[in-house]
Amino acid sequence: MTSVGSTSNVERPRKSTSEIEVTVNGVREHLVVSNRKLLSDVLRDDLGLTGTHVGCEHGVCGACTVIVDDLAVRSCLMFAVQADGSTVTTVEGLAQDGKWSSMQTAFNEHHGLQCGFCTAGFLMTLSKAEPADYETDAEIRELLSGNLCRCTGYHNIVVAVKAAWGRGATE
Amino acid sequence: MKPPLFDFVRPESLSEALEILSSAGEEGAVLAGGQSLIPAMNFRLARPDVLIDIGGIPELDTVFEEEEQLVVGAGVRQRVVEQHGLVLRTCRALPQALRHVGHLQTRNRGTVCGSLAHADPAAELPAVALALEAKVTLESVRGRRFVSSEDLFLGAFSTEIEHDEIMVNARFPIDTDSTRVIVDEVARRSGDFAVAGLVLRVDLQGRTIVDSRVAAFGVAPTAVRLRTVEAAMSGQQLGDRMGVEVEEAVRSDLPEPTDDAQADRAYRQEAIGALVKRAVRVLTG
Amino acid sequence: MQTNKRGPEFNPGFEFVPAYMGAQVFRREDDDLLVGRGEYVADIRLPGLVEAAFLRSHSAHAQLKSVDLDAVREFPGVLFAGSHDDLPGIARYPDWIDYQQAVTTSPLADGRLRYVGTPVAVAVARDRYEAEDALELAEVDCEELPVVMSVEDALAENAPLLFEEWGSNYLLDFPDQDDLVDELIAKGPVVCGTYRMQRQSPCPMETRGVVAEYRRGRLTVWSSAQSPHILRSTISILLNIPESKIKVIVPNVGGGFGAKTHQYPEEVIIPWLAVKLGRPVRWIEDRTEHMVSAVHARETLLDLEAAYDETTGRITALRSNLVCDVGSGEISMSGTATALVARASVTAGLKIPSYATSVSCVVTNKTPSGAYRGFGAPEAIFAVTQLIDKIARQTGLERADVHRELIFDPSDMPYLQPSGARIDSGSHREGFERILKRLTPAVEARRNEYQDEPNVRIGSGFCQYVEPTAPTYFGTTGHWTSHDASSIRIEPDGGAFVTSGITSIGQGTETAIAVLTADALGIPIEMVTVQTGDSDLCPYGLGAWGSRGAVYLAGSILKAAKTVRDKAVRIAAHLLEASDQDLVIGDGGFQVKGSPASFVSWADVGLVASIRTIDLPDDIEPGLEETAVYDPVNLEHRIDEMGRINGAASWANGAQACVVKVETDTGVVTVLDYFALHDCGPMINPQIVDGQMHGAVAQGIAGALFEDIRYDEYGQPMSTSFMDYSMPTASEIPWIHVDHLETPAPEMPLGLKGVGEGGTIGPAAVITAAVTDALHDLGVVIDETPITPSRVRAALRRGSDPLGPSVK
Repeated sequence: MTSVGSTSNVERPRKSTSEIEVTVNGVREHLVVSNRKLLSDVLRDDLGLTGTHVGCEHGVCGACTVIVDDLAVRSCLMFAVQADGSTVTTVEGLAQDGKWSSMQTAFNEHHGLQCGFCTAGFLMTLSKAEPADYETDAEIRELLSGNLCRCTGYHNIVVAVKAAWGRGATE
Repeated sequence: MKPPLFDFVRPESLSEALEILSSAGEEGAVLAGGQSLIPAMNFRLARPDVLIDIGGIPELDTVFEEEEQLVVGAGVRQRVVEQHGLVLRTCRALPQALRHVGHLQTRNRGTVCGSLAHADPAAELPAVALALEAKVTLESVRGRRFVSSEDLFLGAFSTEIEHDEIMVNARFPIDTDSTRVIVDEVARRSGDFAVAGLVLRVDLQGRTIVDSRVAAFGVAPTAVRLRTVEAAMSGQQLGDRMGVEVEEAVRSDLPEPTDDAQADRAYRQEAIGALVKRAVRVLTG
Repeated sequence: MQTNKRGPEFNPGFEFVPAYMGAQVFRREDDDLLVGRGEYVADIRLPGLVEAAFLRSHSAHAQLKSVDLDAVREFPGVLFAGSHDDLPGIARYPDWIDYQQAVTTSPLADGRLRYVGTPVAVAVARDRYEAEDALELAEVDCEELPVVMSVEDALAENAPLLFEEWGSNYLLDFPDQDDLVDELIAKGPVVCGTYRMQRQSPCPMETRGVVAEYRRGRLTVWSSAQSPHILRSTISILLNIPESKIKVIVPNVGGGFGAKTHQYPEEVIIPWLAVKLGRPVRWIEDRTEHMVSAVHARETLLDLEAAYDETTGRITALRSNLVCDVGSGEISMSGTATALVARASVTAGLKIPSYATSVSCVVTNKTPSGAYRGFGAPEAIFAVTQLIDKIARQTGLERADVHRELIFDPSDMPYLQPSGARIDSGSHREGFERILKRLTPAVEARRNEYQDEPNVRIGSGFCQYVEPTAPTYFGTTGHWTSHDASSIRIEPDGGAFVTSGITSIGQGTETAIAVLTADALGIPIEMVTVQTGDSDLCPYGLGAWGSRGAVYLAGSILKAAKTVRDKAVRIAAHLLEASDQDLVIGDGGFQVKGSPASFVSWADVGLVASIRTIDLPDDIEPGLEETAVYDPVNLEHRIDEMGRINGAASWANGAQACVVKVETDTGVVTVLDYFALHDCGPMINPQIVDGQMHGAVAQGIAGALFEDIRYDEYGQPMSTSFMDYSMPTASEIPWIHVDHLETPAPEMPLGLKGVGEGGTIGPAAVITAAVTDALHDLGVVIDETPITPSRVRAALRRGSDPLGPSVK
């Protein structure tokens, strides 16, 4: 939403772009980006990696979750310039040579996605989760609580996670 | 919602950061984890002209013990503190509280000092600072000063930190062997800010509470010490029935808690009372 | 006028042999979606694409005086900025719906602003960042008007009117009255209750978005929408462009849930800009916009009074008044169709001989209401279930027994309600008993588990319901129809290319089409290619809503398949030098009965039909394709002179139950166990059906406990982000036990009924009933959602019979 009659941005000259080097899904990229451009938008627009989705732009829904330097983070809460020198993995980097990860396979077999808009975020969060740290269903649900889904009621996502981690599909 | 334009700098030393911050006047902002600042910028509620990213300053990225204090640098991520061996040994309130803070993904970027500087009334960490009587170190080109948590939080999202100051670390007293801490809250959803929350820190001698510090959050413009409750608890035995006197003490300490769309005044008073009693039950075992 | 006689069966004209249907078939949609190769509207890239942002009203009620965009236009990079008068040639929305007041909104506001979020102006720049920068320079002058923020305010004497010409704030008012009902209620005994469901937002994870391009004399519009053809028709009317010059494509959609069934102003303005600027334009809604400019739903006050039999508790007469707060009413179909379904749903699933259900829609200065999964049924079942439980409390009878008095038996089918609803089939009683059998041990187990915990109360609730599926469109957007269509074309390689007017919004439509087609033609499912959501490729249909997909897909695909099969058989028979009657279809081809070597494949037939046509029989033309329409019997579109209508081709049924834990010291309610049963007849894909139930139940739980769209007294929205609109996470939603019965609908294709919405119908009802069950001996009866900790504690403090809304 916009506000009415607020401060203009044009008065002061500024250095508003930066050059960055970031490795994305194993590819070194050299980019010139506007300082204010969010990492989510740079991944999608500048690199054409539209698998990362934008659901809220205030860090709650988790649809934009990617891996930066081995950690699951919200790409809508990072400016791309902050990723200079970093390694980023998006959902496009999960499958190896076209072969799905075991989590992707489990999501398909257990119907862990419907519209698919939140799915990349869940997969990326899960890609860095150590199964041994999440023994109970409640712990799995808490791991997942940083990603919102409106279609599945989370039920089959939990089933898929347990299946991928070699556990039974019951409650 | 897209953020407005800004100058971006990523200094490599603290002194460089302080210089830039000083010359930016009121138009500069410090970017640590960004988990509170960037949403505000995306909403165009925060519009700094100069954003100073302190993520590349090594001296701020440290956790160490000094003079019976746990010192957490400004650049240290919440998730790191949550799992840090030294922290788990010396300041159990922090990992306990951090479990409630946001989600894993926000804790991977958000910082402990950033949360203190942001001073959200419903946040856990300011209450931890209050309950532990922690201090923060503020630095600027003008020098360094220490501020107690009691003096730090002035109001909702408002602190003692001047425009040209950076909170370079927070200093938490080390737990003693007899220290016990409970952090509990009522929140709508997992990871939400609290509707009402509590940090309860006691020192036990056997089954007797010799010292108690209670900080409530989510119930007032800042986290707040509940001194009447603390007095009521001092000298109590674990296992003593705590009933009406706790509720009265809470009402005395919180005569007019926040009244908003989430909950009314009476609710917040009751919830804090309930959390105190629950905490004591947990301590009793 | 419906009858309670059985209508004709749907006979596909051939023996449908389910092989994939009912089996485990993994979704083909996942191939793209799992690896980030889905294409949602925000993913569409076109050369020269520029981006729009909207300036929206900050006032809840005001008269627009001027909009000064000079500075916006001068901002670097801005290609266009305009308010209403700068976009000539966009008509107002027509007065489509004759059973409500006329609301002929202009897509960009041209005078009265009636809710925060109303589109006032638009700017186009290189990207969204710059468009937002530019719009900050706009100056808007308004004269503020007094706001109306509740139905009570709206109906008060001398209330400010949103539409002066109406003389009131009623968008729709259908009073209903019945002398026998009044008599029985006057006689008593009587139970009454006032129930309030809050305003909610369907809130799909993907916001709305539109991309438009004018090229080669045609306007192509991509939109995250549920009904491409309806959108096309709407754009045609509002932009005065012939429909044949417009193509609408619905790409991957990240959930709709009803919010995307409407034809919004942005979906007309962005195409206009594309034509004006001669380059592609896009607009991607952000979340804050979505919270104020995409439809809200559910806000309803239900006043119920029932006369009942003293001995059995059976309701003998029910008098209800439903008042719906539909916001400003300025988005087509604003809440009125939902209100009509809510009215029917109060009584549809119950054997009550006499009732009168009044319904009205009242406008207020809030975002317009619209469609949300469940579409009126959740509100109704919520209220009625509490009332039935209240009879039990008043009489000392068992709740389940009082419910049982009202449930249909199989011998009652088809049951013609006085409201006109024709309940055609179902397992109402069996479903209810099954749910209770699941519930009883669960309650027991939880009571044992928590018996030593201080401040914990356990409660349970249950309900049963019917769900209108494959419903009428109620004439909104001028579509007095509810048909749909599919096309099957056999390619030279024997593969089937299938398109349909039913759209995919994430619910697995493409897989369902593939399953039905593969079984209808007896071919491997890999040989079926599916395309939906393209108004050029797909036959005219109404899209995805109203739990209609399965029924219309089955009907239209089977009809098309029949024609294709018949022609294919004739070709195959010719190739095999046999007679048509001697052939059997299956195993990917055509077999002479009893002669295994005499076989030709669909590929053989396809080749001849299109490429080697010299091998066709003399009396057969080349080609092998068919488009077929399905228009269900029993479905009515207009209310008759007595106010009756059967608005759904078939009524599914279900029952739900839950066990809750209430922490009396903090008021926190946790759903411990949830059971849902749904009977949608035979299931095309059981896994998909389960998934629909899970998701719908979760949305219902969200409404019962967490979500609440709030406004302050000045009309400023307070729920403008995910920080203040509490959509539940995985930690708040329990394991959802889903059970099925499969009672075929005799008049429906393959006996199918719908399922998409059923899950939303029960949660508010059963969770409210469960909390009341847990606390009523403490004087607490819950009559309002969401059931927040603050409200539970307030009710416990009051500790007496509360009527009317509780505190916060």
